[in-house]
Amino acid sequence: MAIISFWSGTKGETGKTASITAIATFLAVQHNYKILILDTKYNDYSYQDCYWQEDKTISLIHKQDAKTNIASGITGLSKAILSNKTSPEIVTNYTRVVFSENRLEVLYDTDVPKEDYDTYKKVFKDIAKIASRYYDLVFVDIDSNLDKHTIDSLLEVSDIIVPNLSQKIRQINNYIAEKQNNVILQKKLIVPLLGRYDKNSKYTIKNVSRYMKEREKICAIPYNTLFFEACNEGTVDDFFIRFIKINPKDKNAFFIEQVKNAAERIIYKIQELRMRM
Amino acid sequence: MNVTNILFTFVVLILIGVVIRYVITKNKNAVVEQEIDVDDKTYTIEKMIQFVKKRLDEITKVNLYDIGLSEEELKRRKAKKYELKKALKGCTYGDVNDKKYVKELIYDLLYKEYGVTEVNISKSIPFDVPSLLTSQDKFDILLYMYKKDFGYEALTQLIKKYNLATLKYVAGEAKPCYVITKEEIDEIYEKENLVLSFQDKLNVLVQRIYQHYKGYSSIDEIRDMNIDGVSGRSIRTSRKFLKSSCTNRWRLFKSNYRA
Repeated sequence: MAIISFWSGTKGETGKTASITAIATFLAVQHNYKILILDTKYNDYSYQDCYWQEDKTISLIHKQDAKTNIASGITGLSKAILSNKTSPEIVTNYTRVVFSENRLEVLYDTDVPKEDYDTYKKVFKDIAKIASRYYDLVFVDIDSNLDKHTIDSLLEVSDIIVPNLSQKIRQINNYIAEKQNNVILQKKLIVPLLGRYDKNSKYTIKNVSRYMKEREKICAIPYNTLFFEACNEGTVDDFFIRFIKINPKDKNAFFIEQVKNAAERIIYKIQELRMRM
Repeated sequence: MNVTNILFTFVVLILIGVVIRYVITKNKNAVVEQEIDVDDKTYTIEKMIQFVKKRLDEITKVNLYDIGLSEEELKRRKAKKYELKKALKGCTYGDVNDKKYVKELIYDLLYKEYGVTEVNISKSIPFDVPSLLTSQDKFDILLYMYKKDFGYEALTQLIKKYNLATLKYVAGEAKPCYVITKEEIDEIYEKENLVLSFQDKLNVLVQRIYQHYKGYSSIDEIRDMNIDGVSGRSIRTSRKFLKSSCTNRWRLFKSNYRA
């Protein structure tokens, strides 16, 4: 249905992965959408660390299983797509499940040779497009290290672009300059987002929005100790199930409130996009 | 009596414990994935074909219910297995997409499981010693490299570039005919002076294995090209390439190509 790309113009720590994880998990718990997260990073374990605790003891049954399995993850899917197997249902066969019934799945790859990655990064755009025919929301985590051509092709197919910023004035200035020069950013729906947000900084949501001359307040995903611990321990799903109905006086309430705000803004933009069409 | 019984029970329990521990340790240390025995013939094409056949059989015939997968995972694995089975069936009918899928799988099996490397790949096809290459090896390499640049126009480009569609007199034939000879292939290979990366070499090898396993033998790649058709005859003396008179494309006519 919709492709939402999280992108950062600079190679800095903007908390992109954490922001996607928070928003996608929140939406999966709160709504009844079919959601996919597509990770474009090379051999990255971030999403694995967020959702699964790896069992280091490989049992006999798993050894046998590995022997009878075909390649999974992005590598397996890109091979199928390059062989013109492009039915939308095919994507789900290569993902890893967080919530069953396609509520939340992650498509990523680890332990892939560089040559394979160089081949399959050409089909990221196709994967996103095919997946959007099956899933309601496809969140794409665009790696800043990708070449310009691949990044542009992903931004081009996106319905909504979420530029990830940090509370650094240089990065905000860079984004403002990029927005003026980049044609793709000008024609797409944009939801700017501050990652790892610290509400005690002078670069508050209100100040940054005013500085960027945004009509609406921009979104933010605050830094939250419990959430970032959950991101390392593979318990993000449990975290959201536990805190989804939180007491407003709780110290974690601000985090949940901001995630909810960002998620609802994205849903609102999707509805706006549908109205335009 | 009671004390003897208790002691006896105690001994039996210890024995059972020891046996269970032994079985668990044995299973833990059991090597499921059999290492491939490396000898002189390991990296020959015949051995590799056998390996690929065996592995694809294992993958397609495995009983997924025995593995103990979750419901969701079982559904996915069944879909993937079905996709592979469909591709294995489709490629025998000449479906190029299924062929590509199966070849990708063979590539992975050889590279990741069989341990084909830059060093041992030359045992199957002697890429590094051109004098040891057969004309078929050379033609396969040429066609692969041209296919990288020109896609399905590779054969047309090769014939055009070296002006191969000319009438020639061949020893033992009274009339001139359209034919691509072994000597021409050798000469072209020498002129092209191709430098192959490991991926290129492995792709050539995968194509060779595929064409013997599932494909159409030596004409497998030729029949995928943009040509009017391939025709084979059992009479060896009449293997010829003929140019189509009415189109710009090339036609393999009355031919059964053997490089």
